[in-house]
Amino acid sequence: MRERNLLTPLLLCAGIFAVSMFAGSLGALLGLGGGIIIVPALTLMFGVDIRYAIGASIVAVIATSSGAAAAYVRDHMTNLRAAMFLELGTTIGAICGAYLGGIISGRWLFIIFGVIMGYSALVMLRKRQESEKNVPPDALADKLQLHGEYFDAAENKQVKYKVTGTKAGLSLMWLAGVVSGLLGIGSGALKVPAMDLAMRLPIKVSSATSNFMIGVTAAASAGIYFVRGDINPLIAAPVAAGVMVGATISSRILPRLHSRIIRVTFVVVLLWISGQMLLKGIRG
Amino acid sequence: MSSSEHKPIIDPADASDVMDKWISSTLRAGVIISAVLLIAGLIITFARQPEYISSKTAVATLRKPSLGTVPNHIDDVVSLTVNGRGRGIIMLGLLVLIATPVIRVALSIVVFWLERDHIFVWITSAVLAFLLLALWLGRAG
Repeated sequence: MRERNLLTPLLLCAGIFAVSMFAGSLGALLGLGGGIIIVPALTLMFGVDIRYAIGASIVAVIATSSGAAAAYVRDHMTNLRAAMFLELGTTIGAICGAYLGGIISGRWLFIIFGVIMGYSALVMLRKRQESEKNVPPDALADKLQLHGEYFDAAENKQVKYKVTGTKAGLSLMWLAGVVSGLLGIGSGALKVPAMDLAMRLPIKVSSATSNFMIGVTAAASAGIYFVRGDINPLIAAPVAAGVMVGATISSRILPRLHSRIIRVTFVVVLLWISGQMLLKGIRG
Repeated sequence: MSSSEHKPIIDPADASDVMDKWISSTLRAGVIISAVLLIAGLIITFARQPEYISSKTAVATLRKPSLGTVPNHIDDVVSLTVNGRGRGIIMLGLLVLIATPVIRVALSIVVFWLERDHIFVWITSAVLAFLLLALWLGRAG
């Protein structure tokens, strides 16, 4: 592997900042936490050790979540009760994952990352259908009153929905938490389908709720990374700053370009990068 | 909305709006404070160590954990910051950022308590406890 001796710290920080801006804007557009772009970029492009990359990425996830969440909460899209209930699963998962991440060798992290990335890419291609009207009853959902409603701007009406699959959802969230703690990503790609398919939350609510949740899950891992010395200030700072700027630019200047072409291109790029990560893990 | 027989201190519908604004303002403030600290810290780091601007060998210490050391304890962060070291200021900014979701969870406990939603006061408190546990475990592990 070619050692990159051309960079000075200033150039490295500047480069990381630029890439993070891109990750932040893309993440805000497509509803990702950005970690899935940042870890490969830092490790493959800039030769940063994967532990520093994961530490920086988890900070970026929090930046994305806290930055964007302000808007979602205002719109009443986030199902706070469902989020808190499911956070029971994700936080425990994140602690497990973060611990595991400290024991597992770097090469395995690359391999697992490649697999998760590939899966996330395919998840993005999935057609987003609204769930059918008949939602099976769920006693726990009733008891905790997880059902909700939101105002759909596109359809210009208040939409009520029922929530189900609480046990399945909680288990899936634990898994999402483990992946998040292990790889330093937001796991939005795992959370949104879990809420959407298993628990039947409307897609917009799932996205908003996931955005809130990834921040909390990331905070659980971040504490462990920090104490382990995985968060390098000179790597994490340009990443966090870049993501914040990128997400802000994306939401202010660019219109919501949710076109299929962007999505498909992104999926192709994700699949290619996941292949690169797998190769790096296998080759060492 | 609440299942208990007690009257909520604030009507849930109003509380929802007020609290949402309160929470999002707090989050935004946290992110902005963090951003300011991060950028200030970066500038100070490069200003105090000019070799970082031009040296090519210094990069290695940034990339490999075995070669460089990063602050990993609150005491280190505080002392570095007080001494005006850029690294400390950056870490402070990062800690503020990491705190924002934790604060958000804590505020949600207040919201649920005001709505007299006891089950969710417990659930949210448990989540907060797990978050704090993660920090404590990290220190011990």
